[in-house]
Amino acid sequence: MMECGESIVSLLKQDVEVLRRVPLFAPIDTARLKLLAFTSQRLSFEADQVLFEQNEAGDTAYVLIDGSADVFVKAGPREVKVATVGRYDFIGEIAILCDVPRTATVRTTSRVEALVIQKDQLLELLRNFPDIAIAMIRELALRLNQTNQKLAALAQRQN
Amino acid sequence: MERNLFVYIWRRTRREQIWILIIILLSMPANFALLDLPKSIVNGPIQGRGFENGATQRLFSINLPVPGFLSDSGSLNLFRGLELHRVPALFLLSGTFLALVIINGMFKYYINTYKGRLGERMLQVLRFELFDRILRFPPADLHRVKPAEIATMIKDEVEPLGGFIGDAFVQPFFLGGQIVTSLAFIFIQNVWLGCVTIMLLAVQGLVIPRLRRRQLELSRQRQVSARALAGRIGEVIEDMSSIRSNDTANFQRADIVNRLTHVFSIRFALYQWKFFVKFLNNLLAQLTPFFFYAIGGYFATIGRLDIGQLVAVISAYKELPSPVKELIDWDQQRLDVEVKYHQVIDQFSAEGTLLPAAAPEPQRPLPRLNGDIVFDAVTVSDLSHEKLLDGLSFVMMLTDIVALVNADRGGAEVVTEAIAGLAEIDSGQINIGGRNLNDWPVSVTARRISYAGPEPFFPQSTLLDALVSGLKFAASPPPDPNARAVPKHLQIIEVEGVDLDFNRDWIDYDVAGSNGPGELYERIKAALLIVDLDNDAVSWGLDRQLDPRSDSETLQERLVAARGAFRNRLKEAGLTHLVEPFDPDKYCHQANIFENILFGTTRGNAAKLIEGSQLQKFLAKQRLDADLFRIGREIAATVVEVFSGITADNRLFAQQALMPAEEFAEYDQALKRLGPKTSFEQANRADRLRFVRLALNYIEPRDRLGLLDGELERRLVEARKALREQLGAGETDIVFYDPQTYNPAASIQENILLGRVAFGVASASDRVNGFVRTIVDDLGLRDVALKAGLSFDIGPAGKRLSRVQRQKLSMARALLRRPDLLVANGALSALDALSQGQVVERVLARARGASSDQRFGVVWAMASAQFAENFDRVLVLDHGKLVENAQAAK
Repeated sequence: MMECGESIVSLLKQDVEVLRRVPLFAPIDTARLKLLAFTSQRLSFEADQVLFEQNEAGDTAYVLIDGSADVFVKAGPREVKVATVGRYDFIGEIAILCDVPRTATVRTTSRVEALVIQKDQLLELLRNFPDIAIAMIRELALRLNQTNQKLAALAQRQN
Repeated sequence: MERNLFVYIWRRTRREQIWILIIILLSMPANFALLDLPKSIVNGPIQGRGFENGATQRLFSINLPVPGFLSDSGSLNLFRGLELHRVPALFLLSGTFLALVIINGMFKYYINTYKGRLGERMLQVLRFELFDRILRFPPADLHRVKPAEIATMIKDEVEPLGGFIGDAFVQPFFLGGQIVTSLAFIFIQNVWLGCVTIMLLAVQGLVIPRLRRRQLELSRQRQVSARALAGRIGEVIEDMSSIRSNDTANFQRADIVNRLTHVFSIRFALYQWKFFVKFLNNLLAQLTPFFFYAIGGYFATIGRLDIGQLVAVISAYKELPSPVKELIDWDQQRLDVEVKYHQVIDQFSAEGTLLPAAAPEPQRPLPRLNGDIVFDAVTVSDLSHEKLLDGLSFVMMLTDIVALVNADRGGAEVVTEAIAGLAEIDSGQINIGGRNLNDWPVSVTARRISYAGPEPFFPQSTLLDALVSGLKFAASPPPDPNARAVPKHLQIIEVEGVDLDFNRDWIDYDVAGSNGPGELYERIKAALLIVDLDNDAVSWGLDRQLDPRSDSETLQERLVAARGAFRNRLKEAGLTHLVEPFDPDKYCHQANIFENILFGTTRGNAAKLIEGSQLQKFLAKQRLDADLFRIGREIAATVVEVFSGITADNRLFAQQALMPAEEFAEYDQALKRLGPKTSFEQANRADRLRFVRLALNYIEPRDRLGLLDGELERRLVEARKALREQLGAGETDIVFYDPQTYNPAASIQENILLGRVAFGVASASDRVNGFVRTIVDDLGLRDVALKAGLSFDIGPAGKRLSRVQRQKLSMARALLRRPDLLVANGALSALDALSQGQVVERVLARARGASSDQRFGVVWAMASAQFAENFDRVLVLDHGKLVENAQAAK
């Protein structure tokens, strides 16, 4: 385990590189990415720690820099795993964009380093840089499409 | 209180006024002699009259005039006097002059200080009497007063009285005397001229007061509007939350502007009128000499008037304007003060009957209440004569546990208020122990019954003071009955039979069921536990320092030991990365550069240290200034680059902690000014300071710019050690971090941690707080923290507490008094259902005698029957009448 003070020094530049790899932020220029990296906080989580719980209020989104986590959705009394997220994935944005409670629970499966983006930050960013907004719409649309296809496949299997 | 100001003053200061009069009379001869002596000196020794040809004069011979049969010459010689030549006489007389000056000065000094002291003392007595009235106002009258208006009346409006009281009787007496003397002299010279003078004086005396009436009216208006202004300002501050949430701030501004303009217009009219009257006054005063010169002179020229007499009259008249003017000024002051006095007195007269005055302490031990509480056809109405309680009758034992619930506009709250003496009963009566509630002395009922209301108010104080505020009935007896804490000349206000020494211990330990502060503390703990405020108290306590006076060295050692235990706990849980401890030999990454150099807690102002030139000199000596300059510049460059194109009030700015938004432009300019090539040596002093300041705030894990390397960290640690050496062991403003010792300038939690919570670890501070709590509990330090928490400042009107906490505090205060009856009126309404249920249960358990305490009864008006399960009986009220009186369903 790491002693405090001996951790790997994480530089702003590294964070910018990470953000660049996030598909959502790909079209953004370096200066804006620097702004995003500079104004967001870096947090580290241990294995099996919860980032956020379904139905909780939320005002932050996360970009995973390192490690992986599972995404669960409550189905009655049980939890169903719906996705696994890892490096360069962007999660938690739905609660910010739609002003709803968290739509899923995210639990880490290893040590995770994440960049935390506040709601105000994200919205400011979207307002100032519509490109990001367009990219995000595309991403969400793709996800929606994937979910629809999975549903269709599930329904087909049941028949 | 007497309506006539002079009666009020005379009744209270009779003796002092007569004494001043006597003193002034005694000073007159010296005064007269001082006026007369210069003439004698000039005429006698200086000009030589009476000293011709070396003759001598007899000075200071004292002859007492006596009737003829006692002496031939008609006077008795008491002292032969001194025979002196011219020059010695000169010196002696001059010396006498000096002596007289001193004597007169001393008289004046004594008279002025005496008058001043008298006036001030009476002012404070008046203020106390007004305040006492407020304490005795019946509830109905209390509702119509605004606190800020009362405060300004007592403080400001009666202030002119102080200056007036000393002169109230004395001035007119002497001024009148002077005027009469001059007038008599004029009359003696020439009757006609005397009459003219009197006539003109009379005109002055009649005209001016009439003109003054308008001034009085304006003055009254001014006083009222200034008072209303104070009242309104007080209201605005109380109302702030609804002003802000409704965005009506401009309306408030308009209101105050309107009021201020109104005050100004009145004052303006007042000034104009006042100076007009003054002008007229002076005119009239100078009219008389005009008549003398014109008419008297005419008569002198035609021979009907003796010139010598005219001259004498004119010179006598010269003595008049001064006392007349002063008398008129005195009258002006009198009017002013009287208006203010009447205005204030009127506001303090109550419509109902006043509550009883302060009474001497009752006999100890205080009787306990027992028996039954009987409500006999009790009716209570509100201001619009709606019946809140309508002929309510019921009986309960004092030790019963009763819940009151409203079916529909029942009036359960009014029942509790009536028992607590806060509501006036229109008809019917309440009996306790067979005796009418009104017949019981207040000292028994108020001390044996505890009331907890829905909106408790707490003045600003510590948590401890708030808890014991319900126990401060009387001053404890003085340790030495003859010793007086207050020096005699400062004992200006006394109430008969009541000891009002503020500096003694006023807590009644007996009523709280303890025999001293130690046991009281245990009871406080118990009360806090019942109301679920103990965890809050522990939290507050962890953020406070140990009390250096009462907490011993063993306690400090225990805290240091707790430090080690805390670290071990973290190690066992594998969470050492949550906290980076302060190690004197290592750089702490979670603290900024300045904190790393200083490496201690400051007792004073840390910001001052950063700006101070001392620090700059120190950094220069350590050769760190150039590096910090470089770092600061990089920080500024990054921030400016990252935020370029973003306006300064953008919320994104708040997301970083290095540069405040308002300084952005300043740094932008500084960077442009310096350009990329300028080195530290070339930069000017202001710029150097600017960038170094920026660097001092830098924390690598938080800011992540990669500006600190191992080498710089090592040098910073060296600087730390050098600073410690330089400041030396005698340094009191900074307490250095030392893992082996306790830090008296840091809080309990900071002492246990002696380090910083790590940035960048999720939920680190919550988890650390949890660990600290567990350590505190496990090592038996919870008590210590709770005790420290008692010195938490609850803020003005208890604003630093949430409404829930205030209600809990109010209940704890009520329980601490060990009452015979607890009367609760929606006392825990702000708590959520689960907490409320738990606290109610604990209170009832205590009421039933769960601990070794005596049982007490409970009357609780609650919003719904939800919490009434645990009570013995439930009374349901509907429109002020009792509709159900049943055993509680268990």
